[in-house]
Order: sequence, then C-alpha cells, then structure tokens
Amino acid sequence: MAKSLKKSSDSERHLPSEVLFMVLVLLPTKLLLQMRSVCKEWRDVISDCGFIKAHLDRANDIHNNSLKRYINNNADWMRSFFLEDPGTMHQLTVPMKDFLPRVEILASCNGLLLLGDDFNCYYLWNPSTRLLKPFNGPSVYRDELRNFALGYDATTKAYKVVRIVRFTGGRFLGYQKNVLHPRFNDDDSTTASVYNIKTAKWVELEHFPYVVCGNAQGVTVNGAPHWVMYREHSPNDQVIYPVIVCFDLVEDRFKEILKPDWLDDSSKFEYGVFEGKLCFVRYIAEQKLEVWMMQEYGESWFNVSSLVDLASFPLPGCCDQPLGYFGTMAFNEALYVESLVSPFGGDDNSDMIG
Amino acid sequence: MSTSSSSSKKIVLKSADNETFEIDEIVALESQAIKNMIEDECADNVIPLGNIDSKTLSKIIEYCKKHAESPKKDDNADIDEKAVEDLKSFDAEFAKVDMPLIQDILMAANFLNIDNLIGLMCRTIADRIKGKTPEEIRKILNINKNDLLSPEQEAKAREENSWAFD
Repeated sequence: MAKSLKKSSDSERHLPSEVLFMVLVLLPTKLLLQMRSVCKEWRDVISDCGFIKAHLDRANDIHNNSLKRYINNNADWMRSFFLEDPGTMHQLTVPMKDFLPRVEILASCNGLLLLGDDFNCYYLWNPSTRLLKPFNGPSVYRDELRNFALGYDATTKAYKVVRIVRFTGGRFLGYQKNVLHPRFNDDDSTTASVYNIKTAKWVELEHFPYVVCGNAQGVTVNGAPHWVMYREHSPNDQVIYPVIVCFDLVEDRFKEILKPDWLDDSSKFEYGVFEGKLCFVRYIAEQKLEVWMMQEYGESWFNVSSLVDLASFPLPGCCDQPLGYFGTMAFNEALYVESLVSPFGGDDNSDMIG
Repeated sequence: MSTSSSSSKKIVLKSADNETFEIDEIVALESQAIKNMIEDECADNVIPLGNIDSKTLSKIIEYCKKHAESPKKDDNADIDEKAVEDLKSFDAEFAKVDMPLIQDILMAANFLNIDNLIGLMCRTIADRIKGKTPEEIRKILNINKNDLLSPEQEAKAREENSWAFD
C-alpha cells in the first residue's frame, strides 16, 4: 500500500500532485493565475503543459459551457460575458488601447483571439491571461472583404492563421454577415494565405477557386475551420454554387466536404456548430425551417428537425440559449473559451499547446 | 462482525486501524480497484486497506452503498427524476464535512478508484477555495510551509498577474 496516504497528524496530510491536478483543473483561469503563488507545487502544476491542455479540453467540452465566453468590440470598448450568464458584462482591458477603434476581432481558437487593425498589425491575444503577441502581415483595405480563421496544427504544435481576402473592385460592401450576391464583376478576385505563428511566415496559396460572401468567420468542426463558399461547376459558368470548404491545417490546403443535397444557389440558410457537429438551419418558407446535421463527419447529412427541440435550439444570432451558440461569427465578435494557452508557445518559443 | 442472512456475496474490508467492515460485493464493486482485484481473483476473504483509517473508510462505504442502490444512468434512459434528485441531495449532504476529512476521502477514493466520489470531492475542494486568497488557501489546505515560494518568487508571480488580484 502506498505509504504517502498514511498520516500521523493533520499537518502531514498532503494531496499528491495528480490529485491536486484534478482539483485545480476545475477552476477558472483568473483564480489559477492567483493560485500560482500558493506554493511551489501549485505553481508547477498550474504551469505544466499537461495541465494547461487538460484545462483547455474541459473548457472546449461541448457539454460544459462554464468557461465559454462571447466577446464583441464596438469601437469604444471590448466586452465579454459568460454564455451561462449573459446578463453580466465584463469590460476587457485591451492591451493596445490607443488603437482600439481600429482593432477588430478576427477569429478565435483555444482561448486565443486573433486581432487585426486597418494596417498590417495583427495580434494573438489571450484575454484570460492578458498575454499578447504582435506580428505583421499583409495590409488590408476597406474595399476588401476578409475572412479569417485561427486553428491548431497538432502535428507541428503550432497555431495557424488563415486569411482569405476578396478584392471587390472598389465597391465598399460594408461588414454585413451575408451579402446575398456572391459575385459582382470580373474584377472580383479572392486570394488566400496562411501564417504559421511558430515559424512567423506568411505563405500565399497557389490556387483559390472560391468566392466567400461577407465577413463571417469560419466555424470550427473537429478543430478545423469550415465555411460555405461558392464556386463555378465549370469554367465560365454563369452561376456559382455553394459548397462546404474545410481548411486542412496539417496540409495547408482547402478541401470540399459532403454537403446536404438541398444546398444550391437558391437556398436560404445559416450554418453553425451544434453539439460539436456542423449544422444548417434551412429556411423553407416563413415560419418553416429545418435543422440539418452532419452526423458522421464527411459521410452523412440528416434532417434532425424532429429530434431537436426547436424551441430551445440556439437559432442563429442567439447566444443566450442554454445549449450554446449556434451560427457564424460576424466581424468584431467571437466565441472563446477561458484558457491558459500562451500565444508564445513554450519556454523556447517553439511548441504551442492546443 | 455478524454474518448477514442475505444470500448475496460479502466482502470484508480492513482499515489501517484494524477495524473490519463486511459489505455486499455489489457495494464494493463501486471501487474499480476492488472490482479489478475480485475479477483477477486476487482478493482474499479480507481486503486490507492499510492506508485508509476507519473513519474515512466508513464514509466511503456509506457513499458506495447509496450509489450502488441507486439505479445507474446507463441502465435505463427513463430513470425517474426523483432518484436523480435524491442522489444529488445525498451527495450534497455527504460533502458537508471538514476539510481534513474531505482530503482523506479524496485520497482514498483516488486509491480505490471510485470515479464519482473523486469528482464529488474535487468539486467540493474547488468550491471551498474559490474566491479565497493564496494566504487563506494555505490555511484551509494546510500547505507545507517548506514548499512556500521565496519572497522574491512570490513578488514575481504576483507582479506577472497583478491584475488578477484586483
């Protein structure tokens, strides 16, 4: 029998590290930052990579919303609230306050937010630890539509930024969530590039045949960003069709995955993630909608309208629903989790936790 | 120990202070560690638990009895809500003990591998240290004085996240 459990007096009682780990992993980030000064053992447990990962997994757990937050930026302040407590707002201290009116929330992953300004400055920011890593990238202009995604490549242990920019030939399109006309004219062109936070390099992808509508962020399924994008079925096609595109963070390329049969150029829909699965809300007529879910990833789509309680289903744009947030995030808003993940990676600035 | 008239199989547990507890096998099976011992047929008539005192062991048996009697979630999807509520209020009452005993139960539950009880005790400790300062936590959990950070280290840890102490 393990001797460590034996005690002769109360003062010798001591929780073994693996037990302490199980207690601390239940706590929110701010408390953990405070508790690093309780004693050396606590500091070491809380700073440990395995602990940060376990804490992150709990925060990302689809059945636990206790560490999930929603953030938006209205040019004067950034504020966030817990999904479970939408009534209480927290104003966030933004590290680059002087630039706040121009800083936009572009994407979110594992507790890290990607911010960018109108010029060429980008920031990887953990609002829960207030750590900030700035980096530079291509400038963007007002007449471009941009879509960003932030994801984690587990094979190289690095975060990657996906940047899709659509030049609209001088038209200002505003920051609407879904611009209905997918393509405007022949000047309309889209490019995509990827930034690896670890190697600090931007790489432009060679071939990008898609058109993206609006400024919505991708939605994350199985850790990878997904969008509905449009493309021609054949060259010089007059119509462009919706397809579901996923970015493969390991191979650095876009892939199309199975879409529901009904999804065509005349469909009205919103998409999002529900219980970890890609879902569509399909608008058929006024007051009539269906919910479709990709049950087996890349394999099958089902109409689950009769299975989900539509009264409690978190319909697009509603983030105060008990089941979580469904839908794509518009510019300047994001869903994020509280985590201890550092934007800087490990001590040697190499491996990142994700 | 008196022998029970029930025909169900019995297991005897022996605490560090040599007290014996005869319990139904079904109750003992709440512990994954004991379950493994029984399945591997390496459990004798009496299972000695040399690192768990009788006070802690009797609490653990109380917990396992209640949970073994309750219908399991995966047995039947239509479990009546009353049983779930009943178990919840039992757990809440069970956890109303002092911190040293909570820690003893947690360590013993970890040793005996009783998942639900580990979870309950971890949540209880987490709830009790929420909103407490590091100084208060040291007192509540009786942190070893030899393991404290040096004044310089503590100042550094606080400075890095001074905002978190607001």
